Amino acid sequence: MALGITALLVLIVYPLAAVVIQAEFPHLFAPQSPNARFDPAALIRVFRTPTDYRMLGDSVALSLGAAVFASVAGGALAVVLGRTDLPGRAVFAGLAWVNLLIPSFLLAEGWTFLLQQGGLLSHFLTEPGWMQNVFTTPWGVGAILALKFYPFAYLTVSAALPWLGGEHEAVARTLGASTTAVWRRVFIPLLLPFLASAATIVFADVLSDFGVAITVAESHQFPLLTYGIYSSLYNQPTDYAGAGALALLLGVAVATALLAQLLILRKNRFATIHAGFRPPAPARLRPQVRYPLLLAVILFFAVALGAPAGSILVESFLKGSAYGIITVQPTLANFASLAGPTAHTAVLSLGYSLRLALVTATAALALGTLLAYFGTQGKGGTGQFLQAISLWTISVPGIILAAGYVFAWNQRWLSSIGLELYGTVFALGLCYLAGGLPYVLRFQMGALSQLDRRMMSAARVQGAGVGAVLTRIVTPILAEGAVSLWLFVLAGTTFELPASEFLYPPGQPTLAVEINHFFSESSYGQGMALAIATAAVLITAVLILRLLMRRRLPAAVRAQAPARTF
Amino acid sequence: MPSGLLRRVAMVAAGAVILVGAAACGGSTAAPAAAAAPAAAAKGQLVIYAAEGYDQAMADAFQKQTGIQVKLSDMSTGPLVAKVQAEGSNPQWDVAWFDGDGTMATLDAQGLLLKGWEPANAANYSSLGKQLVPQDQSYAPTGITAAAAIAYNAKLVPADQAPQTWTDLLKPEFKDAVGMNNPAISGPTFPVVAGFLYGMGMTQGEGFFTQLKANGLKIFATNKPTLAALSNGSIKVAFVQDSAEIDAIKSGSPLKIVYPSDGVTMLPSAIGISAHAPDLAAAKQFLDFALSDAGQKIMLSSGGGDSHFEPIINGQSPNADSQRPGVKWNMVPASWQAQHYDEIQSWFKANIVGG
Repeated sequence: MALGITALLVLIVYPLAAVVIQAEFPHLFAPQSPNARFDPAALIRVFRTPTDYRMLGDSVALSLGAAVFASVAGGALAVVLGRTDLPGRAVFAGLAWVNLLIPSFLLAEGWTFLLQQGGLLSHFLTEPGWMQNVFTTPWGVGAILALKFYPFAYLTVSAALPWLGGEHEAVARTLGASTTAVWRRVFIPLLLPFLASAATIVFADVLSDFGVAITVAESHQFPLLTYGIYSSLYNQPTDYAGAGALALLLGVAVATALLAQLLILRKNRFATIHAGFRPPAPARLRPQVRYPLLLAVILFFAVALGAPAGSILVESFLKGSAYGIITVQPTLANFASLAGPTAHTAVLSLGYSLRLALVTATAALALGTLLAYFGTQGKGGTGQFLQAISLWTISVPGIILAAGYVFAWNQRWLSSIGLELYGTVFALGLCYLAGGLPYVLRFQMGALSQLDRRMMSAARVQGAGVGAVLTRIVTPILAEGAVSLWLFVLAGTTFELPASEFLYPPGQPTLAVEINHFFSESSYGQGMALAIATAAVLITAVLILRLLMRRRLPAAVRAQAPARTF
Repeated sequence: MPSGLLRRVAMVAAGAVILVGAAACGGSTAAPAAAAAPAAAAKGQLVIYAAEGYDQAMADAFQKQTGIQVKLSDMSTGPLVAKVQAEGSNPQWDVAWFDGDGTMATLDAQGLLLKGWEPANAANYSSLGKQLVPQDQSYAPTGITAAAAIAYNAKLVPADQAPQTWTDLLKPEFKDAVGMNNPAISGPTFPVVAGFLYGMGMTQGEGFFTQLKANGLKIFATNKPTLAALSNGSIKVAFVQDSAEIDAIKSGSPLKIVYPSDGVTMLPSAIGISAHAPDLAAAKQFLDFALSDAGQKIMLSSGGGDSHFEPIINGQSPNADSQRPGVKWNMVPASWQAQHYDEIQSWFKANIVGG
């Protein structure tokens, strides 16, 4: 426990604090005559500047809206795919995964290329003006962000769903409840904790989003908090005090969200995985429900995945697409250039990034699961602390954490005790770990809270050792969700830019650094092709893995109880 | 669930994971990790932080020529400067290289750059180049581009109606049709704004932007969306860094560039050496290399869009794509830019971007 918390302090809290503290002590790391003089000017400025208030208000409103939309959409999708006999469920589940694995800068680019003035949409529609206008309003931006982040809710709910057993429904039905009543009084309350947990993640993720906010929303129309953070960081000299003050503000926003979640869910946590568990039965859909629902799901994916992914694919086959030039002659030149000498080191960096990502994902899963275990035991104080830290980390743009790593680990006193972490691959790996850990923590805390402790106690009473409890009970139950999380962190780390850019050991660029280099030296098509090729490789690998995994799931999950109609 | 035992197992496992993870990271890249040790850094290793398209080619050529091991960190300018400042008084870099002498002056004002050293190849500077060297010799310009030139969409604007001066952008035919980048996000755009305010004087410069805004000026985040809007005809005219405009034309964009008769603000690329460079000798050698004939030839040919610069070294000429006939260069002293940075940014943010 103590070690777990120490790991969290070292990985996340210390580096973040190194930036935030500069809002109060701006000269702490000054290159010339650093000192610990208290000067909260940056904090005061934030609270005195009406535009900063407005940014905070707009950011929170946007994030709330997107979080609700994403949770409802992702949750509904998970229920439809997990609890009905809708045709093509496996395909749709795969599509949701594809959506989750496409790196967010590609999705943002796809939406931009589609919707920007004179973009793909206006090329094919004669009167697209209203659509573009919709997408530059807060509602439109919120919708795009929700469509980007709904897979979190899908993932959370579909991991929980198999364990919301049929026994609850059986009891309710025995007591005379109707189908609607079962949903309203049993299933939805059981799902609520998972929806809420997904919603808070989306909330935090939207708060930290910069790509969509700046490209689609054209920041100046309703500036968001991340915009303020980036302009502080690109200030001359870099205004770390200002960025720290805004990061602190994000912490307050996240803490408020978490508090709201606690209040809503106070009486609402149930351990649903217990010895009396009965596999849930999928609902057989009546034809008049089945086909409209199928159409709705297809439409959903057409917009959420088809629109941005199709748009980046089109872009990657055009030569001058970086400058919005849309021609009818597709070219393979961008992809062919990957075989050329200019792309040689970039292609090599892919292997390097994948190796790093493999290690990071494994470490994040192991450490996150252990911390989540600690967090779900005991009185709840630890759990709330872990949740708060996780969400804060997600809500703060990655560049702040990365800069924090420089402040935290590039200190003379550290070198004097022989700790030369900064500038090595260790610092980069630890920062990746710090970025992936919060997601694992959040998901695993949800999953573990589903476990009924009496089940484990019973096993122990019957003579099972701790190892047996872990391997025979806990692991099989958590396995599917854990593999999903591992893949998610793996994919995210492979494309991670802010930490890579700040912390990669000079001379050893990661994949994202190479892609970014192509983008900034105007070999835009080449960068695009590299990103898409990598994403395609990752997605294929993940889909194959998932297919293999399906065959190895515990029998209880696969068992199909007799279907019912509702 | 019980158990002190499980808890202890968990703690040990957590520790093991971190150690194994770190070891595996290191293991996969054993050589560079060892090279980062202080002993190896003491001699014959150059660490470059750069945001130039040709930085990798220059690093490779320098290593080949001198045998000094070069470690390049290629970044965008914004993160580069943020990283240099975060490293503060314990720098891990020897050489920093990016567009914008105003930004260099900011680093200099914080005491982060080596002063008072003149590279031998400074003798190669053209007269324009000599003017750009700061008095305290804290950085060395390596080439210039126009911080902004006018680009118009030739499909929408006939050549005889194209703007020829900056004030032409205020004409009614360009209402709602002029675009630029946001200086708070796009690094090379601050010198553009500073150039007008310095050249026209504060009040008149602000007046010019206010009039542009009244004429429907559109502000995009960075070069890419601005040039996309211009290329596909959403706007008719834009002013961004000319090397990006040249690159857009090479990519098939229907643009034409005008260097207004009242001049363009120059944007020097510059190299600074760290005041506490771990390998000062290598850093000095690299700076000389960048100002040499061999170095300049590489920069002019292998940097994508960034190679479209105007050399300031005698005997060098720009590449074929970046001819600037009749260009008049306006200079904004780097120290003036650094001094007025906050004032100009907040005025622009409040009055032109927002408001």
